[in-house]
Amino acid sequence: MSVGEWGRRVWYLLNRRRFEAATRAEMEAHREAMADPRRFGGVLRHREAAADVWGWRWLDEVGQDARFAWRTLRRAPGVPLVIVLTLALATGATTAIFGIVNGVLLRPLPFADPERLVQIYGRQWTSDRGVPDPVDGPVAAADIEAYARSRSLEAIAGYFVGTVHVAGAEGVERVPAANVDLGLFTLLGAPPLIGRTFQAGDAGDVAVISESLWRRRFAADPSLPGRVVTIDDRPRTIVGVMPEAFQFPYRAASIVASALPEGRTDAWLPLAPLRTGAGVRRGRVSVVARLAPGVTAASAAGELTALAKRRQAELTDPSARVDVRLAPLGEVVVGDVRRSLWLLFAAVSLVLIAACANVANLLLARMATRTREVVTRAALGAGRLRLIRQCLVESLILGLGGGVLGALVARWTIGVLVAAGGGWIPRTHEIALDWAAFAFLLAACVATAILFGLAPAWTAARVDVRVATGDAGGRATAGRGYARLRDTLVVVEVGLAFVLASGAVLVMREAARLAATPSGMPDARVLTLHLTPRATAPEYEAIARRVGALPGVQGAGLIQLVPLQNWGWRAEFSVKGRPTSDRMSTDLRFVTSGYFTAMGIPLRRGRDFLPTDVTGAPPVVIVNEALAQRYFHGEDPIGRELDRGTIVGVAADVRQVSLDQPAVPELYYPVSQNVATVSDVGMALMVRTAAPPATLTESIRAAVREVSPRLAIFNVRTLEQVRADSLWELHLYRWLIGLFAALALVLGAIGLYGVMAYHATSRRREFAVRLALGSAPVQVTRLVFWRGLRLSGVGLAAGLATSLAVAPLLRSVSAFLAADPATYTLVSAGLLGIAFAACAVPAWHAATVEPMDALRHD
Amino acid sequence: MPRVDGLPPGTLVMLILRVLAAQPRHGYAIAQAIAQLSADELSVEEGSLYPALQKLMLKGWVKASPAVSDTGRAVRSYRLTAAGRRQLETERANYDRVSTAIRAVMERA
Repeated sequence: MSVGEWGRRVWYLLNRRRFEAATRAEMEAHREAMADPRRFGGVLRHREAAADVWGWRWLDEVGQDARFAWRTLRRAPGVPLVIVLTLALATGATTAIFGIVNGVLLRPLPFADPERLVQIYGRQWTSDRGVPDPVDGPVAAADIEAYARSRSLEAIAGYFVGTVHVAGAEGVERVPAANVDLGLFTLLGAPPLIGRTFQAGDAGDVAVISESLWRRRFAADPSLPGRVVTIDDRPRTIVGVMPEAFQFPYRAASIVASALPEGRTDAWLPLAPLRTGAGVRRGRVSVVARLAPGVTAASAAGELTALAKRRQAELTDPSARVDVRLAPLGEVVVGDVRRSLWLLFAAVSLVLIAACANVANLLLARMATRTREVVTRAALGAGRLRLIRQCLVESLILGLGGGVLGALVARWTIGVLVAAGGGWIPRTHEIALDWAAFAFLLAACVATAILFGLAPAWTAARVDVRVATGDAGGRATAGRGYARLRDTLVVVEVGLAFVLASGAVLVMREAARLAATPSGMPDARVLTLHLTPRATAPEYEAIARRVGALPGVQGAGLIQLVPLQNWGWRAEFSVKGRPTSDRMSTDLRFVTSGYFTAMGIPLRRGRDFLPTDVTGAPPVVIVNEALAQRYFHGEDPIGRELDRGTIVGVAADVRQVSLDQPAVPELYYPVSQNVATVSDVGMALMVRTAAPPATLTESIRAAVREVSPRLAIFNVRTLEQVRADSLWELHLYRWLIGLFAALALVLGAIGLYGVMAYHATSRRREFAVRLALGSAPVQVTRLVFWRGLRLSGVGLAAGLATSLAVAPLLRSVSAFLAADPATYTLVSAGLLGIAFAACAVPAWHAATVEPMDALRHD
Repeated sequence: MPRVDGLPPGTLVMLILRVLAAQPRHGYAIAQAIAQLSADELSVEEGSLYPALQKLMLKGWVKASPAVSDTGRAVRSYRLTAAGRRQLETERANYDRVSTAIRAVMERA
């Protein structure tokens, strides 16, 4: 068909009214001019034949269908409204979760050839429990130099994260930063927004900043590259600005994640060349590398492992071990969130399926009440295809309506979720309700519409005119297959509700259990404040003393890693008098004297750190009960000498890693003897107060400023908040899975109610006869209840079977998601209660049928 | 009264194009012209005439412009376009070839 022809077709469509009026006029003229006008035949028929030439008849019919559907929907808006809302909630939630899955898990990292990027870990092997205990950690400088010569790697770059302080007219701002090798940007293949990135030969006094810092601090000034800005009291030339989409390293790469609550990087500085040899601080850094083209991660790992073995052989210290592990950068960035997100996506998909089943069920119920109309239309000549199309158009209107509303729901939900999980879920700045997500939403809606649109259409096409208009007086149902289909849908809904509700109950029970788990520290009225950058040991001690003396303060102390907020710092130690090859592993903590008192952690034996434990004095440490238990087996550890100091005290166990893990072995250092080991990010001040903690923030700030005005205070939270934050993932899941389960339960209840109401109505006459013949109303009630509960029972059994089948998979995600008889019993009882309630109204209607009324009605 | 109802199949478009090639006409005039020129041997059914005319417009072979009929009614006056002339030649050539072939078969068989 030619272009011109299509143009004329469209022209016809646009000028149709005028054009057809002209056709009509010329036919009238023709008819009048004829000697015998009757011979002209039907003008209407000729006009239709003429109009058909232009090929738009299908559009008219769809338009008719749409208008008809719209009228039908408006006449009884209740059920359609429920359908649209159901679809909107289900597709909206699905799209939001898919948007997150897509942005976080599916979309490749925004670097060139991201699949060739790998993270390289140096592993330290410890064998204190007889089994190797590999820990992923940073890589030593000398090892990096060895790996850089590997043929498997095209480029390799080290980095470490910290904070810098940027000076400016508005005062000093603390900015999360990364010190990176000059080749990092080239390695990642990330071009700057303006200016340039680092080049080989750059001096140490250059910097690259992020787009958001550029906009915030420098008013998006395009002439910024080349300007000198004071960073960490040192003039540095800003050479370029990175676009907002660029973030490196991602949060997962930071060992002090919560000390950098922003979860992002806003400035990049050159990493000072690493010196090799013993005793060099910062000897270990995180490492990212690009595989050479065509090299797989496995073969690269093989070559690096061989290199590591050779390095090991060169070392003289028998306890030192060199090992290496490679992981695709994409996996490292996403980390543990991957399985949780897929689990959420699975849960929300179940809701979507339940919603579809419910919508199909509601449409079938509508169809039943419209049997007579459909039959009449069929009898008047509506073709089977036309009836099917009518149903499809109606469903599409509902599906698209649900889709449009769902897009709004998704937009809102994704905003809430990103705000809630922003600090913890990686790559949230890349999450958006993008076109892929929207396409997914539309596809979901249209697929749903077709899925549930076909069920009624299929029924409509099968209606037997004779049955429907015959003896039954139009009361006929559309047959048995149809009732069975609806029963099946209800069984599916109840089953899905069971699966989701059991999941929700398990998550809620776990959340409640952890919320009630004592951490070992009384956490009421404790304020935690991060101080940055690193100060001196006397400064830390002075801050603890001064804040501890404030009115309303009961105790104050500092620790490097806040319990439940930061994770530990793995290290090894050996005990004097035992073989040196017998290395034992522990977590390290750095505290000031007064920390244990402030936190309410009792010392089981020995003494606290004293002001006399300073550099030059004999090195001392305090261990926790878990370490004493595991490595001293009931012997008194007090006075035992470790390579890290003499044990002077044993502190009670506290849950520091997370509330669901018992205490690990821990070794506390007095910061006064070890301040050099404290990270650049500084330490956290813990203050136990008599008054509500928030009222003291300002006087604490003032006290810190008196000791050292150059310290910045950030991330101020109560210990109760820290504790709640540590459960964020569980809380998020509790809310989401709880919401999904509630949706599924409501859908199941609506579905069951719909089927039972229909069931009771269609047997109205039978019930009337029973009552008239002397049945007690309670017997009729029992008939309805029995059927409803039988359906729910089958649904419960299906749900239980599904839950048991997926239990092993769920347990592999989280141990507490394992199958649990108590939960299943609870959920079954709850569901049966809901089923009972859903049957109650139809049962009552059945029992109160007026026999004469019902019989006369037909 | 025409003695034969209708037209040989496949000739309607060609006949319409041919009578319009002489001069622009409106619908009734086209039917009249075909009847008169064929001495009432051929007649166009009204039910086929108008769909055919719309098809010619769709194909771009004729153009319609408003006109007034002899009886004073508003009608369309159809005239041939350049594409319509080309189409007429094609159809005429095809018709000639086919009718020659038919005659050959009828006479020699």
